[in-house]
Amino acid sequence: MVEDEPVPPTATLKIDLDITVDDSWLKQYRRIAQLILESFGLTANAIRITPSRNKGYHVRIYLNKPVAAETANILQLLLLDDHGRVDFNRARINVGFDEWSKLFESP
Amino acid sequence: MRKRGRKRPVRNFRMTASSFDYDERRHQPVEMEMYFIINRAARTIAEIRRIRSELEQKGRKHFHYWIHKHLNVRLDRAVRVNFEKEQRAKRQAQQVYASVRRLMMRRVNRRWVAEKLPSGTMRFTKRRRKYGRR
Repeated sequence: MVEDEPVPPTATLKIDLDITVDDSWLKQYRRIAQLILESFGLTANAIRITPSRNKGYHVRIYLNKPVAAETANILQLLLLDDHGRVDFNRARINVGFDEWSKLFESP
Repeated sequence: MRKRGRKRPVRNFRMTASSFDYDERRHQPVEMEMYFIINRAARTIAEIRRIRSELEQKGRKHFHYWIHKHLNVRLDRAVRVNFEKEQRAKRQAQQVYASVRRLMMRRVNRRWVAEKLPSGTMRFTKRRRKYGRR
C-alpha cells in the first residue's frame, strides 16, 4: 500500500471558468476575487485571465504567500471554479497527490 | 561540415489520460487517470505539437496495456487525453522515459474518492538496434 504524503502548500490558484462574459464582468470578477482573498488574509500579486480551448477562461491567481492545498481548493470553489473539478481536486488532495490542480491548454 | 544551430530548449510535457468504467461488483462508477511527465527538446509550436501527438499515441497504448495487465479491465470507452501548458524544464536534458503516476477514482456516496495506484515509467524513444542495418 502506498503511504499518503502531505500535499505541499501552493501560491498559485488555477480556476476554470466555463462561461464567456463581457470584459466589464471580468473587471468585477477581479475586484470580488481580491475581496475574497482579503477575507482569508491573502492578497493577489497578479491575476491572469486567458481564454480556454473550448469556452470560457482560465484564471491564474498568484498569491503573496503559499496556502495549504485544502484552502487553495476552497478558494478555487469560491472563485467559481468548475464544481466537478473541485471535487476531483479534493479527492486528489486527500491521497496526497501534489499535482492536484490541472488546467489543460493547447500549445 | 554541418552548421550547428542554437540548442533547442528542453520543455516539460505533462499529459493526463483518463477513462471511465463501471464496477459491476461494487456498483460504482470508476475513473482511471494516468499522469505522464517527460522533458523533451522543442522550440516551435510545430515541434511541441509533434511531441504531444507522439506522447498521446504512446500514452494511449500504455494506458490500455497497463489497465488490462494490472486491473484486468478491458476498456470499451474512449480514453481522453489532455495536455497542460509546456514549461521550460529545470534541468535542460532530454529524457528517454516518461514518468507515469496513476490514480483511480471511485464514486462513493456522491463524492469522488481517490486511490493511489503504483507509479512507474513509459519508454518514449525507440530502442537503438544493436545489430541492424546501417
